[in-house]
Amino acid sequence: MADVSISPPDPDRLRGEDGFRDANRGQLLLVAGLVMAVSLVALVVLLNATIYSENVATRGIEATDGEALEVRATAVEGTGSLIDATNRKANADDDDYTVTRGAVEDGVAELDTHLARTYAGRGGVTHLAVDSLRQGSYLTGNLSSASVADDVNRTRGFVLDVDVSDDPPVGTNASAAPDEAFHVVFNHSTGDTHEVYVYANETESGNLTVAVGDDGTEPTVLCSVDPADLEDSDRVAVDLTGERVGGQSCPGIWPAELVSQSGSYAIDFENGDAATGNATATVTAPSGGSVGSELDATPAVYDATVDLRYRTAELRFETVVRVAPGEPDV
Amino acid sequence: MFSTDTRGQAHTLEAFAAAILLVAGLTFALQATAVTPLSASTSNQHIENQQRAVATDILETSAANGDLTEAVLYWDSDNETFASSHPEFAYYTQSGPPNGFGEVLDAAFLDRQVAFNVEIRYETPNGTRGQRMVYMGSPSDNAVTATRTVPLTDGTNLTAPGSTNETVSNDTFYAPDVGSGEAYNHLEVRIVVWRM
Repeated sequence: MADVSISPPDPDRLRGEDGFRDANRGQLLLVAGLVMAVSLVALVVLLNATIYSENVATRGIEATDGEALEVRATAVEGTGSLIDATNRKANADDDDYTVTRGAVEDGVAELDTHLARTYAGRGGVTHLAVDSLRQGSYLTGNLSSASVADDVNRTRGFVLDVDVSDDPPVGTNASAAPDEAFHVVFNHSTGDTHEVYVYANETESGNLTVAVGDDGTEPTVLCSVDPADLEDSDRVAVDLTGERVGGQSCPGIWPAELVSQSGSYAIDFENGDAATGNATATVTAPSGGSVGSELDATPAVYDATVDLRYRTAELRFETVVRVAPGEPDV
Repeated sequence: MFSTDTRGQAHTLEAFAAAILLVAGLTFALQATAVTPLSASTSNQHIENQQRAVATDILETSAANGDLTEAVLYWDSDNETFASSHPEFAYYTQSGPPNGFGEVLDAAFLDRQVAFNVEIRYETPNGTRGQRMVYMGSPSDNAVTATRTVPLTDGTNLTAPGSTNETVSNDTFYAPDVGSGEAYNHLEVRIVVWRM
C-alpha cells in the first residue's frame, strides 16, 4: 500500500532560507502602510490649503466689487437728491432754468470733491462730472379738475398727497368710480387712455383705495390702505411712478404702456372735487422744452447723465449713469 | 545580527511616520474648524463674508425704502441725542434704534448673537467727524464693515417723534451745513459687525 500520509511542512521551505528576513518584511509592510497614510493626510492638508487660499482670494475680489458699487450708489443718490431739492427750490423761488441748471452743476462738482475726499482715505481715486442735463418741468398744485401736462413722454416723482382726515375722498365703489371718484387720466397719443382712481371705499370703512382702468371702463382695484394703520393718518401719499400707497408697495399703478417711451401722452385730473390734497411731478416733453400745465410749473432739471470713474490699485471702474430719481422701472 | 539592525531602522522610521501622522492630523483639524468663534479658519472666513454681505444688503434695502434716511434723522433736537437713546451717551447701546432700520438690524444680527456698531461720519469745515448711532463695544479683530452714504438737502425734516417740525438746519442737529446750494451734508453710515 502506498504511503499517502504527508509529512509536516518543511519549516525552511515555508519561511525561506532566512527566517529573520520574513519577520522584517512584515514590519516594513507596516511602515510602508504608515507612510502611505501620512502621504494621504499630507495630500488632504494641501488640498485644504488650496481651498483656503482660493477662499481668501475670492473674498478680496468681492470686497473691491462692493466698493465700486458703493461709490456708484453714493454718486447716483447724491445727484438725485440734489436735482430734486434744486427743482423744489426753483419752484418756490420762481428761478429760471439757467439758475437751476447752474445750481445742479455746482452741486455735482461739490459732490465730486466730497467723494474724492472720502475715498482717498481708502486708497481710491474718484471722478464725477456732469455729461448732460435734460430740461423738464416741475409741477405742483392742488387736486382739482385741471390739465396737469399737455404733451410729455417721461414722468417721474408723480405723487398725490391725499387728505384723508379733514376732507377725505368721496366714498364710492369700483363700478361707480369713473363717474364719481377723483382720477388721473393719461391720454396716450395713440388714442388709448389709462385712468388711476383714488377714492374711499364705501364698504370697507373708508379705506383709501386705488384702482386702475383703461379707456374709461370699470376699473380694477389694486390696493386699499387703512389710514389709521399709517404713521401719518391725516395724509396718504399715492406715489404713481413709485407704485406705492401710504409707503406700501402697490405694483401696477403706473400704466405699463407709458414706460416704453414711444409716443407722448397728456395727463389730466378729473372729478377734482372728489378729493383734496396736492400733487407734485417732474415731467419732460419730447421736444425737451417746458411743458404746458394748469398747475404751478417751473423749468426744472428732469434728469442728469453723469460720468463716474473710480480707481484703486486693483480695480478700474468707469460708468455713465442716467440719474432720474422716482422714474418708473422699465 | 544584520537582521536585528534592519528592524531597528524600521522602528525609527515607524516612529517618525507616526509622529508626522499625528502632527498632520492635528494641523488639518485646527485649520478646518473654528476652535473659538474668533480664531482664524476657513469656516470663519466664510462667516465674515456672509456677515459683510448681510450688512451691505441691509444698507442697500434700507436706503431704497427710506428707512436709512429716517434713521440718520431720528434726532431729538431738545436733548441733542438720538431719540429714546441712552441719555448719558446720546446713542443706543442695547439694540438698534427704535425705527425701521433698527428693527432690521436687530432681526439680522442681535437675534443671532452678533454684535454691531453703527457710526455716522459727516463733514465739517475742519474735516470729517463721527457720531455714534449704536455702540455695543470695541469690535474684535474679525469684525467686518459695510458703508453707505446718505445725502441730505437743506430743509429736510427730522423724523424723531416731537421733532418732526424741526429741520436739519436747526443748530442742535449733529451734522453742520457744509454744502453750497441745496446740498446740506453727506452722511456716511458705517456698520461694524462681529461675533460675540
